Order: sequence, then C-alpha cells, then structure tokens
Amino acid sequence: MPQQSWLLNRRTLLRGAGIALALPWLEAMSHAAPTATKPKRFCGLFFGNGVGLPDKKHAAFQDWHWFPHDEGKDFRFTKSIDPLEPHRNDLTIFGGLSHPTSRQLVGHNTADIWLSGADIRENLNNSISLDQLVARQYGDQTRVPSLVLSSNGGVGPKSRTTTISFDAQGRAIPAESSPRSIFERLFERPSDQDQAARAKALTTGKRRVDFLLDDARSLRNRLGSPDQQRLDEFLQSLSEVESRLIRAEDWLDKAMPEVDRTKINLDVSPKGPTDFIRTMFDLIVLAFETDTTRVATYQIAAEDGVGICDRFPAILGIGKKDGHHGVSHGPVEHWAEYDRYLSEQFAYFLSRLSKVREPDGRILDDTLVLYGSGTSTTHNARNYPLVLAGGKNLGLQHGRFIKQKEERPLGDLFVTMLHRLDIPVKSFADNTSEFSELVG
Amino acid sequence: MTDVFPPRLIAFLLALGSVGGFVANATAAEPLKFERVAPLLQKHCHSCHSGDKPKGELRIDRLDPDLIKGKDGDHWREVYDRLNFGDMPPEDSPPLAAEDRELLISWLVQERRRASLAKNSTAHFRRLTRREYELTMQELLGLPLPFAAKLPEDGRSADGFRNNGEMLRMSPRQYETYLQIADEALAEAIVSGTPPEVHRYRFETIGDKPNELQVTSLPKPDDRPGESFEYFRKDGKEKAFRIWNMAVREDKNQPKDPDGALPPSAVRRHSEAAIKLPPYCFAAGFHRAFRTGETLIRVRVANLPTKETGEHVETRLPLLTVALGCTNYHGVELKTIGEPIVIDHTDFRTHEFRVRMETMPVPNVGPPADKNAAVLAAWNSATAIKGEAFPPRLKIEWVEIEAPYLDRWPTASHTNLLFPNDDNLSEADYARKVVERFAAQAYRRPLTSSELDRLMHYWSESRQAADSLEQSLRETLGVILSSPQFLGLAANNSAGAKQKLDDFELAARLSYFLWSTKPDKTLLDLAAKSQLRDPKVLAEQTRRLIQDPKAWQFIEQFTEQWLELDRLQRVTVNKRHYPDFNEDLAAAMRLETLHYFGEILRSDANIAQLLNSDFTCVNETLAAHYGIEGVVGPQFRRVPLEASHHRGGVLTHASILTGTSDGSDGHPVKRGMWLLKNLLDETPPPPPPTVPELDRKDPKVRDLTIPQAMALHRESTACLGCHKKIDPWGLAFEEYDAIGHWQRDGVGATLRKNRTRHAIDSSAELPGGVKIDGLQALQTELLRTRQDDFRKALLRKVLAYALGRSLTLEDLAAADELAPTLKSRGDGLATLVEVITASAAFQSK
Repeated sequence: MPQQSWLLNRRTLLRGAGIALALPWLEAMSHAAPTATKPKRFCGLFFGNGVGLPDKKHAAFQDWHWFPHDEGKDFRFTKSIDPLEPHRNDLTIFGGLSHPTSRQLVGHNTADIWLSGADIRENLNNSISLDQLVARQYGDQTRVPSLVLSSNGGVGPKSRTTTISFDAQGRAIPAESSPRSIFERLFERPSDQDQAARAKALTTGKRRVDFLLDDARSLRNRLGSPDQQRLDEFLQSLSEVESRLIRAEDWLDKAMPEVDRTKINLDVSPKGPTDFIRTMFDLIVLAFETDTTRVATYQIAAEDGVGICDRFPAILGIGKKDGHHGVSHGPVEHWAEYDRYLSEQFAYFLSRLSKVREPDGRILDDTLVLYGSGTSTTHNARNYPLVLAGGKNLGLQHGRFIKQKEERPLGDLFVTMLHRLDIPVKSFADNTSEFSELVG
Repeated sequence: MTDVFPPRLIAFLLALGSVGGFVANATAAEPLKFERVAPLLQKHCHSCHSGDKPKGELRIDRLDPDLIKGKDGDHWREVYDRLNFGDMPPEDSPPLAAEDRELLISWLVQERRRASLAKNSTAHFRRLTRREYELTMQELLGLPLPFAAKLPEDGRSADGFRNNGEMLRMSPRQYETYLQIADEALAEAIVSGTPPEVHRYRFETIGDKPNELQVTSLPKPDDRPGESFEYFRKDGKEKAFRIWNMAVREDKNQPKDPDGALPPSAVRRHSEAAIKLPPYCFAAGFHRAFRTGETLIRVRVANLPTKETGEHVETRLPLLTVALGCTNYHGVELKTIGEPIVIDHTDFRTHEFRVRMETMPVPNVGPPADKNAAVLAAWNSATAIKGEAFPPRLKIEWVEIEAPYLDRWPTASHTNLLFPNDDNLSEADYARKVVERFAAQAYRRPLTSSELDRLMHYWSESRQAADSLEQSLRETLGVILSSPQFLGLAANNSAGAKQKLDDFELAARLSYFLWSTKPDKTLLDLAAKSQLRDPKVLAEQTRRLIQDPKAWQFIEQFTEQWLELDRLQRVTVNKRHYPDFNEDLAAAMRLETLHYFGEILRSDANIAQLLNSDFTCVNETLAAHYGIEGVVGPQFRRVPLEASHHRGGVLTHASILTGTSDGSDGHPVKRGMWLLKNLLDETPPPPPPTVPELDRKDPKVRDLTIPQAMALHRESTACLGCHKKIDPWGLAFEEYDAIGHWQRDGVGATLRKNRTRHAIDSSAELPGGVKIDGLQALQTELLRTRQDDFRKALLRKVLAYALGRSLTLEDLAAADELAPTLKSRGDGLATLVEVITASAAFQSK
C-alpha cells in the first residue's frame, strides 16, 4: 500500500529519506485547512552568477552547455544538468525568459528581482515577490505563512541581496540560514513566555475587532441604504479579520507535529556545502509534509562574490580558490562542474518531494518548484536558466525544453504559475501574456 | 496676481466681446429628442427589424426609447455598434445618409451616457483615500510620518478621481493593515520611560587635508533631553559604530581646490540603479543606521569669495543641498532634505535641516559593511556651467548630526495627546478626558455619551490587562483609529430621504474637499455653534480654506486627476529625439500646471484663463525648456508671457503636450480626446471592438504625415463618426512636439529637422465647419464658442471631486444649474468653488 498523507492516516509513521515522524491528532491537523482544499505549494530555489554556456565552436559545447540540445519533447540533457534525467517527466526547462526592465542591467542584482520582476533601473525600490504573493493567499492556513531561507542568511546589501523574498512594500525579508533554529521554530514548542505573549496579543486583537464590529453595526443603523451597502464591506472585512484571529489562536493550542529530530542532520554548516544544502532541502520537505507551510524560498548561492556561499566551489575543490564569482568568470569547465553539482542537489530535492505520498499522488504533484538563476552567463540578464518542476495535479504538462524565438517576459510564466495555484492575478512582473503552452 | 489685467489680456477680452463674448453656442447644450430620430429608425430599420420574424431576432420597433428605466440597453448597444461599423443598413437597402447616421449615433451616445449616469450610486459614505488617511493621521498625532506607506494606492474612477467612493473599497487585508498602522503610530506618538540615547557628532575637515574628517562627540545640550552616546567606547579600542570618511571628494579629472571649497556639482547616474555622490561634496558614511525618529543636521557654511580677486565677484550664488541615504553595491541612494538653501553670506553661518528618518532611504538591516551603510552628504547644487570663470563656491566648516533629535521629553506628540494632568484628576477621569478629546477629533464631531461610555468600558478592560496607563490609552486610541467612523466619511441618514448635512458633516465635507484632511478648530467651533450653514459664514470659510496652504491638496489632486497629469509618467519619451528630456524636467512640467491652477484659484481669476492667458508659472528648469529668460532657481513663480513664447493656458503646458504624445511626436487623437474629455466633458465613446489602433510601423502609414495618416484612419466608416469630432481638435496642436517644444522655430524646429522632413500641418476643420490653423486659433475658437461648455464641464468635475462620487443624473443637473450663477458672478475660479459649496447638492446627504 502506498504511503498516505498524514491528513488521512493518523499516527502513521512517515518515512522520508532518513526522516521519520509520527503524526498525532488528526482533528488538530485537519483544522489547518477548514474547507479541506488540498494544499497547493510553491518553492523558489535560486543561485547567482548564471551558468556555463560555452560557444557552439567550443569543445565543451556538446557536453557542458547548461541548456539542453534540441527542443520540445526530444531535448537532450547535457552533463551540466543530466542529474535531473530521472525527473525528466516532472519538469520543464525554459529558454529565452527574463524580466524586461532588467535586461540592460549588468546582471549581478538579479537576486533582488528574480521573483518580483521589479523595475530597478532608476532606484532600488522593490516590489512583492512571487512567493509572498502566494503566502498572502495561503499563509493563514498553516502555522507558518512562508519559509525564507538562504545559505548566507539575512538580507545583504540592496542590489546584492542574500534573500529572494520581498514583502508587499518591497522590503527584503531576512532569510534564515541556521538549520537548527529553523527546525526549532518549525517543530518545537515555543517557550511559555513566547506562548503567553502571543496569546495575550491575540486576545487583545480579538477584543478590538469585537468592539469594531459593534461599532460598525451601530453606525450602519444610522445610514441610508446605499451607504449601508458600502459599510457592509467594512463589516465583512472585520468579520474575516476576526476569523483569522480565531484561526491564529487555534494554532496556539495545537500541538506541533511530532518530528524526530535525531533523524535530521542539524549538525551542518556552510563549510560542508553538500550536507548543508541538503539539510535545508530536508527542512523544506518536512515543512511541506507536515503542512507547516506551503511556501518556501531558498537562495542556494547569492549573486556576485557575496557571502559564505561564494566559497562553496572552493570548498568542493571546483576551480581555483577564487570562489563562485571567480568560477563564473573563469574557464567554462570549472563553471560547468559547479552547474552539475547544483543540479545534483536539486535532483536530490526533487527525489525527496517525489517520495512523500499524498492521497492522490506525490507532494511534488501539488507543488510548483522553480529552480534557476537571473542571468544566463554572468552579466547577461537575459535567457535565464530555469527549470519548473512538479505540479502535475495542477495541470502542468512536463517533459519539454521550451525555447522562445524572442526574449519573453518571465512574468508570463509567473502569472500562469499563480493561476495554477488558484491565485487570480490579472498581471504580475511585467507580463504581456500567459504561458498557456505549459498547461493542458 | 494684480487686479489690473495686462494689456495682452485686455486686447484678448475685447476681441471676445466683439464676436459676441460669452454668449453660448446654444445648440451644444440642447439634448436630442427621440422624436427626431424615430422617423429615421422607422425608415431604415423597421422594414427588417419588426413583425413576427424580425431579422437577427431584433425588433427595433419595440425597443424602449427610455434607456434609463427601460430594459433594452443591450439591444440599443447592438444598434449603436452596427451603425458605427457601417454594416447596417445592409448594402441592398436604401442607404442611410451620413448626417442621418451621425444623428442616430449622437442620440445613442447621449442616451447611453445618461443611462450610465443614472446607474451611479447615490451613496455618500466613503472610506478616506490613502492621502486623506495619511494627512488626518499626521494632524491627529502631530507626527509627519508616512502613515499610508503600507496601504495600496486607491483606484481611479472612470472620471479620473481617486476620492470616488465606488473605488474606495475595503478588504480584510486592508483592514488588518489599518490595525497594524494604528498600533505602530500610537507606539510612536505615546512614549513611556526615559528618553533614549542620542547620537550627537560633529564632522570637520582637518587642517589642509580636505579629504579627511575628524569626528567629535558633542556634549548634551542643557535644554534637551537624552544622554549623548559616545562615539568612542570607554576602552578607547573599539568604536561604538564606525563612521567612514567620504569627505570632500574631488573629481579625478578636475584640479583640486586648494581652499577645500565646493564648486557646483551634481549627483551622477551610475549605470545601474544607483547614483554616485557629486564629485565635490562633504560626506560621511555610518555603520549604524538611524531608521526612525527625527534627525537634526546643522551645517556651518559660507559663500567663499573667489580666490583670484580676493573679493566676491557677484556672479551667481551657491546652493547648499543636504541629503541622507544609504550605500548599495554600486553607489548610493540619496534623498534631499527640504529645498536647497541659497548661500548669500560670506561669513560662516549655521543652517539647520530636520527630517524624519522614516521618510528617507535607509540601508538594509543586517551586519554593517561599506556597501550597506547610511550616508550623509552636503554639496553645492548650483548648476555647473562649463568654463565659467568664477563659479559660485561654498565652503563647509563642519557638519553636525543629532539623532534622534528630541526637543523635549515626553515628546510634543505625547503631551499633545496625553496632556499634563494639572487638575489632578483620577486616572479614570483623566483617561476619559483624553479619550473624549481624541475621539471628537478623529470622528470630526462630538461623541454621544453612550459612545464615550463604550470606549471607556474598553479602556477599563485594557487598563486591567496593561502594565501602564500609557499602554491602556494606546490600545483605546488604537480602537478609535480603526473605527469605520474614523476610516470613513459618514453622514447620518436613517430616515432614507434626502436631507441636509448636519453642521459637523458639512465641516468635514468642506475640509476633505479643499484640504484632504479633518476640519480644523475654527470649522469645528463654527459647527458647534451651528453657524457654518449660514451662507455668509460658509462662503467666508470656503475662501479661508482656499487661501490656506493646505489647499495645495485640492490644487494638486484635483488638477492632477482632472487633467490626467499622470500621463506624463506613462509616456516613454524617445531620448534619441529628445536628449535633454529627464526626470527633473518632467517633474517641473507637472508642477507648472499645478502652480498655475493654484495661482488662478487663489487670485480668483477667470476660469477662461485656464484656456488662454498671458502668464504662466515656471522655475529655472522649465523656463529654459520654454526659452523664457531671467528665471533662476528651483522655485516656481509667476512670469508674464510674450507672443514669441507661444504659451498661455493649460493647452500649451508641456505637461499636457507631453502626456498626449507618443514619446516621439505629438499624437492628435490623444490630444483631441484629452481636450474633449477634460475641458468640454464630451468623452467620445470608446472605439468599437476589433478596430485596430493606427499602427505607425505599417508601411501604408509609415511615410505619411500624422494628419495624412489620420485622414486614412477616418476613411473607415466605423471610425469616421467619432474621429471627425476628435481629430480636428488634436490637429491644431501639431505646432508642439512630443515634449511641448514650439516647433515652428528655435530648438523645436531643429529637433524636428532630425526627426522628419514633413512640414507642420496644424490646420483643421472643427465640427460645425469652422476652419482653424494652429493652437492660438483653437484657443480663440474655444473661448468664442465653447465657453459655456467649458464652464459646465469644470463645474461638473469640481462637484464630482467635492462629493467624492461619480455624478448621478440629478447631480449633473445640479451642476449645470450653477452655471448661470457662476457666469453672472464673473467666472472666478475661487467663486466657482464657493458656488459649489453653497449648492444644495454639496450640502445634502
């Protein structure tokens, strides 16, 4: 019998790769989604500095050109990304997508706008990123609205951010980088003091909304009927705010999912990149599995030579000791070797997501995972290397390399992704159309 | 403005008088009756579209000619589209004469418009706009903070206004944001505990080394609270936070000034999303950012006499600009504090700059680094002129910074809300007084005793749970700031029938109309005494509000939204054709139109001056663009115009001309549409579906002049009906290019030569058959024949803005009824506002 989601199987022991967790209290869990709609998820995985793209005449072109050879269903992986071969039917590779207003820029500021598509030619005012737009829709249905991770942590300087998530005002959201504290926040009970403070804040919040609802009702009695219709929008909004507070309060009393911490390797540090990156992936999988969140971003490597992640290739013995940025400016062989390394890690993540079952498929089938960079080669902010994986249950048709004749807004893909996640945006990130060829 | 009309205007007014002056073109206002079109329908449509088996299952003979109450709106829409497309009547039927087709279409346009007006909501209750909310919060709390930064921009209604109640929606997310803002605002406004640590430093250059800064911690001034923070730690080893020196920078290509003086310089664009500091400036970076609170910056500065002669050569004056900001990976982001100061003194004097850090760019949070630091910079922002023998120079002796700047503790905003309890009231009595006072301000009316009791009940519950009186009051005032009575403008009307606003409601409507904020004490006092409704008092108050600087809110928002000045930002100007176009110029263009409207309003000048006049308002940047000489400095001022300037009235404003261009050339259709829609309130109906836009790349069109291309466009029957009414107006603007240069001579002509070989053709035949050539002729024609329509259009627009809703049929009639009064009272713009506030439409709910 295939493994089922904990939503159905009480106290089932779920086995991921090396992680076991017992899941108690079906009733408590089902509360996560009161209308019992199936979770839909988004995950964004970013690396900076682009990929190795040797010229056609170059000896390495056949083997080490990141983009596949041939188009459509018959595409052939190169060695740069062939670790993804087992997932061929769960992914689509894109060529010729980019954010229009950034194409002329030098292309090292792409982490800032990869998921937002903001116009930062004149100033560095950013706008909301794709993941936060999703979190806005689904964030209140889970304990944690979204996970924002990066290898480096924090936000970094503007134009070289070490996070890829931005809030509705375009402010950088600090990324978490310590697996141990991420684990504790997600799966361990907060201190009594924290718990009490949160409870108090929610009680105050509810009392206020109660008062305001009364207030609005008494105002309503004093208005003429066309005016009442307008005020009703206030009343409905307040009622919804109230139910959100009640939902938040419910989370307080609810037990955390029981996750066995000895089964996840939290003794990792960026000095051992492979273990570190995989633990970050494990945490995301675990958070999805337990429906602790439905939205995650992870900046695996920052742009330019920023932060600890710049040293990953050097630690791994790839290239000389000149870091990721150095590799991206050096001979293509080293660069491609790192491309392949990153593909291996991404393949690991996809395997993990395919092994966890839900009632009608794998977690991967209800999750959109976008993997890639914001420049093709360094300093060339066009033709982003991009892979979109997962989402079969959301109507995505995979197994192709889709190349554009002319550079096309990445926003087209974003809007279609949002629609697949049931978020009815009209436009996003300078899109000019939708990416209908991906669907059906 | 002077009371005496300048000679050119007098001549112009006389000319008007001689052709019948302000007498209206009567036909324009008269509505078409159904009786006039019914025979046409019968003759051309009924033969097929009647009886038992009508073609297309459409019985035109049975359609209800009342589009407002009838149910045949969609069918009439079908008739309208078919007529427009020219595919009805079919080719084998007797042809419909062009003028008959036009008559039918005109009637349908007119009736469909009336039907759409009839659908407009009669509601008065509306949420405050983002701007109104922010200004009201600022006044209530006495804090100049960007309270609305977290709120989304409000939508615009079809008539362009953002204060339209139909567009001011509420959502759970928006409500949550209001709750959050209220909490944050009150945490800032009501303080508790001891004053925070204050950072006070002086930076000065050391001796003859202009590149090095010396930093001194300043002692705490006697008259101010807050302990000074030591720049150097006590152990002397480590600095509490690092200040890195950007000091006086020299341009590598320029010789260094031995005096350490600053010649004129400006920030430079970096290639990528950042700017570089000016080549000559006084700057420091901090590895600790002040993110909130007020900052005080003091600059000791002098105008430095020119070295060569040893005495000051009166050429130009230096300008001191001070800015704060942050570094990023490439350079800096900077925002100037206030306006630049003209430094006209040769002795050293101190200038003060104060700013709230919440309004400035700050570095990302996180560990400090050179590429993520706060920046303070001062420089000489006078325009640099290449090869100038004696450029204006300034010398900075030192710069001091104090952050946060606290002039007292508790802060003024705190004591404004929590006034000193001098009468030794009990805690509950004191709280009651605080809450009552605040709520009456926030709700813009006195509270009923039961309302106050409910709030006090809330307070006493808060007080039990909170650890201080301050906290319980923060919570209670927070509820007031989240109440629909604060967030919305309500008018009590449980009776349902139309009533007059009560005094306080009238005060609020007046105040939000002209100031976009809550009524001040004078208005509330008059309301309390029931005097505001006295017509004389109301007129006086209207005038007072107009003359108050806060009326800038009406000037800016009404003008911008009415005249669609935001088009300016949406046009991508072709930099190849117009290399001198930049953001500064675009900003100046926008401000001209705003200041111009403000000038006419405040001086109660004739509204006809909006269409044509002999003055405008410019600053140095815009004057240079227009070729007006003798205007120095960034401030806008009124300047007289001469015939050679080819300017006068909003039609000639670069803001409008640019906004109605396609970035490379003027766009007659956009210009014609703009004029009809905004100045005459005759919005042409949208083009029928499937009609392609004129494609300038189309080989058929590419080599044509714009008038020729448009003539081609008009050949299509579907387009003809409307474009005949739109295009001629726009063609008259052809003398002005895409950024508003006059292109018959001068700079505009030179630029045009590089763009096209075609001669300018600005001739047009207006609807009605009058032939004109050029904008001057158009203006004259507008004033001769369309003055009544313009008056009505403006009355309607102002009334829609004043009521915060799309006009209903009844509102429209009410606006039109005000026209004769306005005309008889001399057509002044302030008079127009006064006529509006005196109207029954404005005063009813």
